[in-house]
Amino acid sequence: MTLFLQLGFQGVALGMVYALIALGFVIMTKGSNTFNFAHGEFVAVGAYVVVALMPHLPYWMAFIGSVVVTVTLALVAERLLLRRLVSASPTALILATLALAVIVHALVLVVWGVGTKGSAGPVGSGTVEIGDVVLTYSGIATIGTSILVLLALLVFFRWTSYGLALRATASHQEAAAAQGIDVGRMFALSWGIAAALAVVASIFLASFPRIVSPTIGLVALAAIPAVVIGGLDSFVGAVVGGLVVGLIQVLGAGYLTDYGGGRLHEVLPYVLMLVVLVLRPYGLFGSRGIERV
Amino acid sequence: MSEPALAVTDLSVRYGAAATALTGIDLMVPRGEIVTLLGPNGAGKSTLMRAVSGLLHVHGGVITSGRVELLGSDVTSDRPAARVRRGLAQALEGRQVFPDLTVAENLAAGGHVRRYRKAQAREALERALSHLPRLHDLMDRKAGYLSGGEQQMLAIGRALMSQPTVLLLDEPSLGLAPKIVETVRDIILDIRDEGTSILLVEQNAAMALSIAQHGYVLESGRIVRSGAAADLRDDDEIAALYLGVSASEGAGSHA
Amino acid sequence: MTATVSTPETTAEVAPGFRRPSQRRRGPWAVAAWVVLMLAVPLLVSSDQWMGVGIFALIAAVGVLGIQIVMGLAGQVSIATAAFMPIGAYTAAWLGVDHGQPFWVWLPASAVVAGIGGALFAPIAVRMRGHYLGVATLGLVFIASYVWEVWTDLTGGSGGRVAAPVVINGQDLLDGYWSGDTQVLTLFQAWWYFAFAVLLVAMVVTWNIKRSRLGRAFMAVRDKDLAAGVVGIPVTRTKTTAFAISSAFAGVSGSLLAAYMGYVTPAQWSLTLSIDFIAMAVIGGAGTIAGALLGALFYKAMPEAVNWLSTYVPFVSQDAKVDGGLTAPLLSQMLFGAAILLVLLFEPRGLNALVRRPFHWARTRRERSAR
Repeated sequence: MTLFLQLGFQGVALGMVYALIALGFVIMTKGSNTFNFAHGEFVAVGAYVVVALMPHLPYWMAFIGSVVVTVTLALVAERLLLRRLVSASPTALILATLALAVIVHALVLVVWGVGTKGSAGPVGSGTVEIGDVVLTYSGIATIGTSILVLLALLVFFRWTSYGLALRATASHQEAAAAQGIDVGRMFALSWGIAAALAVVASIFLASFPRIVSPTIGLVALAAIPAVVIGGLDSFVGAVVGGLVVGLIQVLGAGYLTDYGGGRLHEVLPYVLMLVVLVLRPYGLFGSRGIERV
Repeated sequence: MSEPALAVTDLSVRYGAAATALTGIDLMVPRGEIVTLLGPNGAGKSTLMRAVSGLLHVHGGVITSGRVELLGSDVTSDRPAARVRRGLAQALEGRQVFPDLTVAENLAAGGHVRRYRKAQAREALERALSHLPRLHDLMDRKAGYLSGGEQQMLAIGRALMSQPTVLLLDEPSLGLAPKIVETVRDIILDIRDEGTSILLVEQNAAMALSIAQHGYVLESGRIVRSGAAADLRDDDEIAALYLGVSASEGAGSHA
Repeated sequence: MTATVSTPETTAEVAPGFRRPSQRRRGPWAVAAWVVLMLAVPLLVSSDQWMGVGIFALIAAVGVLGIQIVMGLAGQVSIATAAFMPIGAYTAAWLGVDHGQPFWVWLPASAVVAGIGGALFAPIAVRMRGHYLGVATLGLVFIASYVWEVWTDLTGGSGGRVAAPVVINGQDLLDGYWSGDTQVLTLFQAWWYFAFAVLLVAMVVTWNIKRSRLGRAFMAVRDKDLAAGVVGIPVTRTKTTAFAISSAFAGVSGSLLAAYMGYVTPAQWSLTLSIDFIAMAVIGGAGTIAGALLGALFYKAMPEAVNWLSTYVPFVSQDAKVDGGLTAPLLSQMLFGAAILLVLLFEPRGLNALVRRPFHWARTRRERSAR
C-alpha cells in the first residue's frame, strides 16, 4: 500500500506535467486548428533556456527569460508559417509542424550540443514524510504550481474578454471574425499561451531526473496520448488524460518491471490511446465532431 | 448627418482567377431605414454582404474595383474588426452562433470589440435583450442546443452587442416556421425604430418588401432592379419571380 | 493559390478525364529516355559514395510511392511508415536468413506481411481524419519500435541482427557480380540495377493503380469522403486498401534497405524516419510517381552535398559535438526542414512541378506561337 501511494504521488506529479503540455496541444488545436507536432520541441527550448540562464540570474528570472524566448519562438513560427497555411490541408499543416520540430530540434543541438546538462529545478531536493510515504519537494511543487496554473487558465477562459474571444474563435472562426474578433491575433494568443505552458511543464519535467537532455522533446510527446485519450478539443480531457498517462507510466514502472523488458510502461499510454481511439475516436471528453477536423 | 449609413459604389468582386461574382454594384442604405436585397440563389447576395463586412477573403474573394463607405468613411480595405468598431455588425447567413458557448457567452463575445467595462457591458446586454426578450430565459444554455428561431434571435442579439449603426442581416428567415418569421420581422422593425439602419438580404421577398423602404434586385452579379419597396411589391415581374416562389425557395439550400 | 498538398496533379488538368494530347504523345518517349538514362547511371557515375546515395534513394523511393498512394491519392495522413518498413525488413530476415529462402521469396513476402499489417491497422485508421489520424499513426510507430526492441528472438534486440542477403546465381550482390574471376559489376552497380528493377515494378504498379477504378475511388475519398460514400464508393474498404498497399510498399522498402545495409537494428525505425518519408513525398510532389524519386534523391543527396560543402565552410564541423556547435548533419537537418517549409509555402506541388516548369513554359510558348 505504501508503495502504491508513493508511486501514486509521483504519478500525479508527472501527470500534471503532461497535463500542462497536453493543454498546450489542446489550446493550439482549438485556437488555430493546428495540431502542433513541434510542441515537444517548445518544451525542450523552455528547459534549455532556463538551464542556460540559471548561472547568471535568480531562478525566477531565468524562468521569465525562458518564457519570453519560448513564447517569442512560438509567435514567430505561428506568424511566418502557420498563418500563411491557414487554408492548407491538414496534411500540409501536420507536415509544416513536423518540419518545424526538425528545425527547432537541430537548433537546440547546435546551441547546446548532444550531451546532458544538470538542472536544479525550482525547489531544493528535500523531502517530507507522511506516514511511510516520502513526498519530494519537487513533486509537491509540481502539483501545487500546476493546480495554480490550471486555475489561472480557468479564470482566463471563463471570465476574461480575451479568453472568451479565444473560445469563440475556436467555436466558429468566421462568426468570430464577423463579430470583429481579430482571428489572427487569437491564433497568436493560443500559440503564446501554449508555449508559456510548455516552459512551466519543462522546468518540472527537467526536475524528475535533474537533467536536461536533447530527448526531452521526445519525452514531452508522451503528452500526445494524454491529449487523444482526453479528446483533442477538451480542456478537462487534457488534464484527465495527463493524469492517466502519468499514473500509467509511474505505476507501470513500479509494478511491471518483470514484464516486457521492463519498458512496458513507456508504450502503455500509446496502447491505451489506440484502444480509446477504437472505442471513442473523439476521446473521453472530446466532442463528437472533432474527428472530422 | 447627410451621408448615408452605408454606400456601395461601382463594386466588382471575383473569386479565384476566373469567376466574376459581382459587377458594378451601386447600393445605398439611408440612415434609419431598412433596405432589402433580393435575388435568386447564387446571384451574389452573400458575396455582397461579405464585401461589406470584410469577410470576402475568408472565401477567397477579391474586390477588383469600387468602394464601400460606412457612415461616410471609406472602409473598402479595412479589416472586419475595424468595420465593427466603426459601427457595422452582422448576423451571418445560417445564423452561425458559437455552438459550444452559452447564450450569455455568445452575447458577450459580440461585445468583445468594444472593450466594455462591466457597467457598459450590462447596459449593452439590456438593450439587446430588450429587443429579444425570449433570450432572457436561455442565458445559460449552450447555443448549439437552441432551436433555429432561438439561434436566429441569438445571432441578431450578438450583433446588437456592439451597438451598431448599421446592421447586416443575411437571410434571417431562412428555414424558420412562418410564425417565427413573423416574430423575427417584428424584431427587425423594433431595431429599426431605435434608429439602426438595416441591410436585409432575403429570399422571402414578401416579408422583406413588407418592412423595407427600399429594395434592390440582384441577378447574376448585377443590380437589375431597384426602387421603393412599395413599387417593387406591386411590380408584376417581381411578384412572379420572387413573391410566388419564395416559400419553396426558402426551404431549399442556400448559396 | 492556396497550399493544397492533397490535390497535386489534378490542378494542372483541364477536367478529370481530359489529358492534354501533347502530354499523351510525349509520355512514352520521356519514360523510355528516363529508363535508358537510369540504366546508364552506373556507367557514368564513378564515385562509390554518390552511387551509394543513389541506391539509398531508389530504395527509399519505393516507400515514398506508398506514401503517395495513401496520402497523395487517398488523402489519409500516415506517420506510420517507420512502423511498416521494419515489418518488411524482419519478415525478410526471418525468411532469408533463418529459413534460407531466396530473395524472390522474401521480397514479395515482405510486401504481403507488411500489407497485412497495414490492413490490420486500417479499422482504427478509417474512423479518423486529419490531425487525429496523424496522431494515431504516430502512436503506432512508438508501439512498433518497442516491439522490435523486446522481440529479441526475431530482431536481435537493440544490438540488431544480420539482414536477408540478395543472392543471384549463388552470388551475394553485396560482393558485386562476378563471371569467373572477373567482376562484371561492382557492389554499387549490382545494387543499383537490382534496386532500380524493384522501383520500376513499384512505379508501374502505382501507375496502374492511379488510372484504375481503385485510383479514382482513392481520389474521391480524398476529396470528399462523405460524398464518395453517397455515390456508391465503399469508403471503409477503399481506405483499408490504401493503407494495405501503402504499407506493402513500405515493407518492400524496409526489406531492401536492410538487405543493402546487411544489418538491421530496432533503433533505425524511429519517428524521424516516418517524418522523412512524408517529407520526401511532399518535397518531390505529393501524389506523383516521378515526385517519389525526386523527393528521395533530394533527401539522400542533400546531406552528402552539405557534408562535402562543409569542408569549405569554416564554422561547420563534421562530427557531432557534446557541447554544441554547427555540424554538417545538423545543418542538413535544418536545411531539410527548411526545404519542407519552402515547398509548402511556395510550391505545394513540389519538385516535380518545379522541374516541369521550364518544359511546360516552353510548350505553352510553342503552342501559342503555333496559333
